[in-house]
Amino acid sequence: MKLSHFAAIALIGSAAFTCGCATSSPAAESASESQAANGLPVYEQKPIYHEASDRDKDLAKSKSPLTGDAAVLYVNGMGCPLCASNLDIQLLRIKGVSTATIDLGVGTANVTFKGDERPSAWDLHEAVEDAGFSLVRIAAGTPGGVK
Amino acid sequence: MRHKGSTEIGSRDRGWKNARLGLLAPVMLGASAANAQEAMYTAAATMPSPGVSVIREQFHYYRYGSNPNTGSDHTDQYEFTTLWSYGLDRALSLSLEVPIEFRNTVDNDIDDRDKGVGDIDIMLKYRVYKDDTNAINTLRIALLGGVSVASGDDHDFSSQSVNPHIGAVATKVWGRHGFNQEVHYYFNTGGARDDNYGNQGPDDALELNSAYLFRIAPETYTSTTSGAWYLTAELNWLYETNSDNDLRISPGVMFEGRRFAFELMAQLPVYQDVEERPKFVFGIGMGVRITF
Repeated sequence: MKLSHFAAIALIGSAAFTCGCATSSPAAESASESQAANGLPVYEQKPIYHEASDRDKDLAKSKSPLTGDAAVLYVNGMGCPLCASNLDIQLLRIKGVSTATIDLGVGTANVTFKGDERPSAWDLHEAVEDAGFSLVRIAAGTPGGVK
Repeated sequence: MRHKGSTEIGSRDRGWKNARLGLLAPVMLGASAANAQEAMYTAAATMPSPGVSVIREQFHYYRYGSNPNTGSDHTDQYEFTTLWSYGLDRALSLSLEVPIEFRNTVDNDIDDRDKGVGDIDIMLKYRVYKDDTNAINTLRIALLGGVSVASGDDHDFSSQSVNPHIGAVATKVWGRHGFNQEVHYYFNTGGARDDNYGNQGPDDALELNSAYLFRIAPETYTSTTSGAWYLTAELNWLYETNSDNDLRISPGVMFEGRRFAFELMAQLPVYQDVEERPKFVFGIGMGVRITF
C-alpha cells in the first residue's frame, strides 16, 4: 500500500511536469519593429509569446539612462495576479519610476517616469529579475499606455 | 502532509507548505512568485522578492479518532498559524511560522481542554531553477531547509526539541493549470508518542505533497485582470518511520488578488495505516495571505 501510494503520487507528479510542459509552440510573436522612439523600439503588442532579437538583448544590458517618459517591459513568467505583485513593487523602488502597471493579458509592465532622473534598461532588467521573472525586451511606451 | 492540525505539527510539517518547491521531476507537482500559486497543504516554488513580506494567517480544524496511547474517544484540534515570509534575495526567502493550538480531548463524555504554542518553524527557501517559457508559463524548483524549535510551551504542544527538516518543491504553471510537488523529510529528535497526531512524535517523517490548481476565472487574463479564482486539489501523504502512514485528499477553492489571497480547504482521509497515533477523521482550513 505504501509503495503503491507513493508510486501513484510520483506518477501523477511526473506526468504533470513532463507532459504538456512543452508549451504550445511559441508562434513567435510577430511583433515587428515599426519605428524607433527615444532610442527604444516600438512593437505591435500581441500575444503572450515574447521573443527577443539580438538588439533587444543588447538593449536590456544597457546601463545608459533611458529617454522618454515611459517604457514597456515584456516579461515572461507572470503566471498569476499575486505573483505579479512582486514586479510592480520592485519597479516602483527604482529612482525615477512614477508608475508601474502590470498587464497580465499580454504579459507586460508599463512603466512611466517622473522628474529628470531616468533608470537604465539594466535597472529595469534587474528589477524584473529580483521579482522572480524574466525580462524579454524593453520597448518605448507612452504615459497613457503602450505605443 | 501538513497534518498540521495537530499540535506542534503545524509548524513542523507544514513548514513550508506555505512556501514551497523543489522539483524532482519524478517525484512530483508545482508554481511562481510570492507564495503565490500555493495551495494550503502543499508548498510552492514561489517566494517574496527581496525586501517584500508575505503574512499568511490560517485556521485549521482537525477531528481525530480514538487515541491508542491514551484510550480517549476522539480529539478536536483547532490551530491558528501565522506565517511570515520575507525575501532575502531574488532566489532566497526566509519564513517563520508560529502555531497556536487548542485541543479538546473527549474520553467517556468528559472534555479535557488544553491550549498552547506548538514548535516554531524557521525555514529557508532557495530557488535553484527557473524557466519562464512565455508570459504565463513557468517551471521553478526550490530547495527547502529549516528547523522547528521548541516554543517553550509545556502543555503537550511543543516537542521540547530541535528538529531539522529538508525538502524540495517544484512548481509548474501552464496556462490555467498549476502544479506543485513537494517532498519533505523531517529529522524528528523529540516529541511524545501520546501527543503525536502526525509528524509530531519522536520518529522521522517523510511528506509527499502534490497540488493541482485550476484557474476557473478568468479563463483568459486581460489588461484589467486583478484577481483569479482557482479550484485546488491536493494529495498529502505522510510516512513515519514507525511505519504509520496515511494519505489524504484536500479539495478547496482559492482567490488570488494583486496583494492578497484567501483560501478554503477541506481534508479527508484516503488511506490510513496508523497504529501509534489517532486516526484522522476530517479537517477544514481557511486562510488569508497579504503581500507588502
